[in-house]
Amino acid sequence: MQERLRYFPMTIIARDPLVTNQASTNGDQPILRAVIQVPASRLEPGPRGPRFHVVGFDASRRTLDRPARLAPMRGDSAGWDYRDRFAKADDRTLLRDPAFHAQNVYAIAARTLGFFETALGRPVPWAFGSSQLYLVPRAFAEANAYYSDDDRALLFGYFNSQASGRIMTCLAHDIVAHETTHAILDGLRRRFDTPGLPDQAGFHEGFADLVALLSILSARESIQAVLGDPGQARVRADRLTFDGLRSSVLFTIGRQFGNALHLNRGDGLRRSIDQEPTTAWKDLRNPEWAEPHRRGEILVAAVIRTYLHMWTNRLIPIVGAGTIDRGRASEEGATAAKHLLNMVIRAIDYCPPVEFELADFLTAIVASEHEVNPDDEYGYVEALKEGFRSFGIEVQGAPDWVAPPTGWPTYRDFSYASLRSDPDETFRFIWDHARFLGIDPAYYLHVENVRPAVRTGPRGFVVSETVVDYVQELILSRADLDKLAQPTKPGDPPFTLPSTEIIPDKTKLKLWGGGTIIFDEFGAVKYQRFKRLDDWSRQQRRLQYLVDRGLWDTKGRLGFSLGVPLGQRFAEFHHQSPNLAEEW
Amino acid sequence: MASAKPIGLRIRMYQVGFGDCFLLSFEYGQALDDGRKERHVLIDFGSTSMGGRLSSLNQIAKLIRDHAQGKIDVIVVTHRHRDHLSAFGDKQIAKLLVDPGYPKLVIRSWTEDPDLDRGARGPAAAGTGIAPSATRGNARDTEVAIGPKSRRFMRTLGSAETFTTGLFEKIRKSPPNSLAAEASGLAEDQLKNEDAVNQLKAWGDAGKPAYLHYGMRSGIESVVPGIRTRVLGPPTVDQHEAVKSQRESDPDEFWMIYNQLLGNLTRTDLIGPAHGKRGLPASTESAAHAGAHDDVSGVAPDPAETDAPDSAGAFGPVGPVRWLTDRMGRQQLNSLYRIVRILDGVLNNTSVILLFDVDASGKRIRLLFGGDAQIENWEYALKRTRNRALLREVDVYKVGHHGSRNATPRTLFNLWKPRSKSDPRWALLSTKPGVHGKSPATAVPRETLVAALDTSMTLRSTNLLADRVPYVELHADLRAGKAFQEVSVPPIPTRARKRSSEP
Repeated sequence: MQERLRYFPMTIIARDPLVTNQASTNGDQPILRAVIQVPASRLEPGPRGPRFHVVGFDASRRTLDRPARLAPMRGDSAGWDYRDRFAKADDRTLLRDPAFHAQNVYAIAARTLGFFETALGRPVPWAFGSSQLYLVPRAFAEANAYYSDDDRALLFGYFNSQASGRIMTCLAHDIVAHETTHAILDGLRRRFDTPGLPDQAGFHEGFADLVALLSILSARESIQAVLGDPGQARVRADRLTFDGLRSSVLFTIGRQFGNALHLNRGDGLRRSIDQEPTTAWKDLRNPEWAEPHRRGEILVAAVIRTYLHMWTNRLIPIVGAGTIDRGRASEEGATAAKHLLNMVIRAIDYCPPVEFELADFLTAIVASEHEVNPDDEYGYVEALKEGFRSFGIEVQGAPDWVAPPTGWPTYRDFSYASLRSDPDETFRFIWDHARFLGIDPAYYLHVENVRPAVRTGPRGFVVSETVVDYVQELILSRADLDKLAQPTKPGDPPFTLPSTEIIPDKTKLKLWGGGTIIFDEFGAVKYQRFKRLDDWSRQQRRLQYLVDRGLWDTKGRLGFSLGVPLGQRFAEFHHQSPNLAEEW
Repeated sequence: MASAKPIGLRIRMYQVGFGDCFLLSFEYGQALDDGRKERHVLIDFGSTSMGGRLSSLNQIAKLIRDHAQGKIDVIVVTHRHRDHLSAFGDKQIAKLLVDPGYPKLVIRSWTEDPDLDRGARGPAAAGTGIAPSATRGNARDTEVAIGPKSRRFMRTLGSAETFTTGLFEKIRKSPPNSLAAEASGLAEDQLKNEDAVNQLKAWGDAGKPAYLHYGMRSGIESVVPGIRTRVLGPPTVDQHEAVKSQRESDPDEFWMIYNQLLGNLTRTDLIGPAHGKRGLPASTESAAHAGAHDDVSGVAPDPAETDAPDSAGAFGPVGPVRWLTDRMGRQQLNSLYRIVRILDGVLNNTSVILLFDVDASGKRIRLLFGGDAQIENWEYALKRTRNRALLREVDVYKVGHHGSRNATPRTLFNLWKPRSKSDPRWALLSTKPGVHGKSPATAVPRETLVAALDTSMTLRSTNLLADRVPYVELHADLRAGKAFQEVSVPPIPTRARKRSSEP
């Protein structure tokens, strides 16, 4: 019997239908395609694989496509003999064939999930119970695309534009990767959608943009097609500088979509790379920067600007006679993107599960790289630190390395196997070592996830870890909090909330704390990132922010939920006005 | 009489629940040319949900009759939403409000000008815009303000109206507190309000109509002597493209597509089978549904092989596909709801913004009325230094759009520095919570705005009036240059009530 393929090579639209292959020798400029390797698995019609299920339902037109058969369904190998029938398809087919739309979303979503699973060294769960996420390539006629956790689905809208014709969001690589990232991040950090500190709300958007950009940049074809004159094998070196490349379409999110909506013609939806370094975003009194989307752009700007510096620096040694080989330049760009993409994904495990701030992300990157890539041969970590520093973000002290204490912790009577997989055993460990870990057992504590992770550093050695995250919760009235929240050290500023006219004494508040503990390959705790529940200064900051943004829930409580209807969290997120800074 | 100046100014904000109704009464020391010693300007009169245990707009109309003695000189309707003009559609109320010969002037937004036909198809008039007619004769820059873009926008409004009417027909009388009910309420607010519009037109024809946009003269000065007004909004689309919103830039296609899509959807598709029986007659639904898919030229991909719905209208085999397709109606309704919200914003942005400027013994008193204008409307005026200087000294602010999150731009709010307790800045908010916006972020009024207004100004809100207190009243003695004082208003006595329906 012929050995089954480990990967299915699937044709996708490399960027969006506006980006054409200018190097085509056929005299025309067809849509730029890429072939990506999708981890092989049995494909039912849909396609429907173990993690994704494409359903061609159009809720606006009330039509359901016959499920696309990408692999024959006969014989013993039914569903296994995938053949890329779009490898040579013309543009019209790509634009109009629902089976291609299905393949395009399936392939990009699977590739995005693959990035995460490779970087984290384990399967990544969805936030809901099922293993399969629905992908709906033409969900409705609306200029929108979003993740609906309630429907376990990514919904991609379509619309018509006078200038650009039909726009299908399912054909934009960045939009599909962005939405998939929302779903993945929701599975990894379920609590990031709770009403939290100001950076937390914007992180979902910023991180999704970041993954989408790095995902595209990690495909060599995408870069190569837009570098210099596509007819030439070499590109002038003076065009491959930071300033020469930053205006490139490579760094635009939602180009076709945004242009069609006449937002800023040519600028797509977002171009975070154009955000010059600033620390103005830290001032929450500035309404522009109190707005979570803008804060998310800070994350993207810090990383993507670093990326461009890294890439252009890598090109300097390969300049010859003022030019650079196009293929080589693209390869360097793709390599740097893959490396950074791995870094930012790995860092998620090292982030606290609640009360997240951008500095936590940088700290997590540094801690995670310390494990898998301690010598930082190419200087990525230092460059990222510098990039974040230019936006006023520093590593938060030394990462919370757990120093070997005297006599603690003890692993006697703990089952190593259980510690790696069982929340109750992990809870017992935290319980027994609460003092050592700095956790106040007075507050309710819940172990949310115990997940093994296997990571490989660039030098080839394997880092095996267990990632545990837990949260602490406290529900109390404002009056109770005023009594409880005493300064912990002499000299600490007093705890002051907005007046009782704004937050009445009886108002119910929900406070969060929690952390991530990393156990090493021997089952010993080696790292903790921890947000104390009784850090009153942080709680004060959070509650003040929630009040300022009016993030009360429908029952007049603070800190419980954002009060958005089921399945609409991300829909609303993508549908906000461009004038948010002027709103209340 | 040109030199006559008012010696007193009275502002009444009536309790109309979710709606607006304001009466400005200018008092003069001597009789004016018609022998009267006052002039009245009524700004909006409508409601979608009464408040304060008052059951009908009739009660309010009677009060206005008492206050203006049937001689309202100017009626301003800021925009065409029901909560701003529904009362005018009631013949009884219209008769009660004004005596024959009044109003002298009817002010509306440029988008209501019947000469700019919103249903007009075909190519937009090229280049030159329209010639100012007698009824718009006070326009200073109509030539440039109403050009092809504005005309195209008028067509958009026409198609959009068809859409909201169609949607409303499909989802009216949805279960209370449901998403469909919310969408239905919003759509209903945008219906044509033909009776009211016809009444306003009749008044305008008898007196004088004015269809205003930014920079025009309002004409109020010719009826109310001794004051000055400025029209700070709305800009036309040729003046400021942002007012038409980003998503309906292409009227010929955008709304045509949505109107066609709506034709495909049944009430059951949108709000679920449990409520289907209360929808349209079956024949209408099936006619709209049958074979309508391919009508949507240009949006859909090549007709794919599609699975037909089963006899109950469900899609896909029982199992995971059905699980999803059954749920997608809700997503579609959410999608339509977002589109209705966009249109709601577009109509809000047609609101006339008027700044009244009155002399009070050398001191200026400024009143700012902007209907439901949202940020995109305001920003055109706000970007001009001269306007910002004028707006800095506003004494009374009619809180935009019932206190919603996006109708009091922070740029405007930040112009207002704190004032002394003896001469406060007043914020008048006409609203009723729980009508629009189910989540705190979208709720009207928006808590954060209310808190900010309450902290920095003297806020009066109709939703805080005691039961059956029918209005808030402020009075300023202009001769003495005194600040506004609040006048105590008693509740309407409870009578053996005969239930009357809300217009």
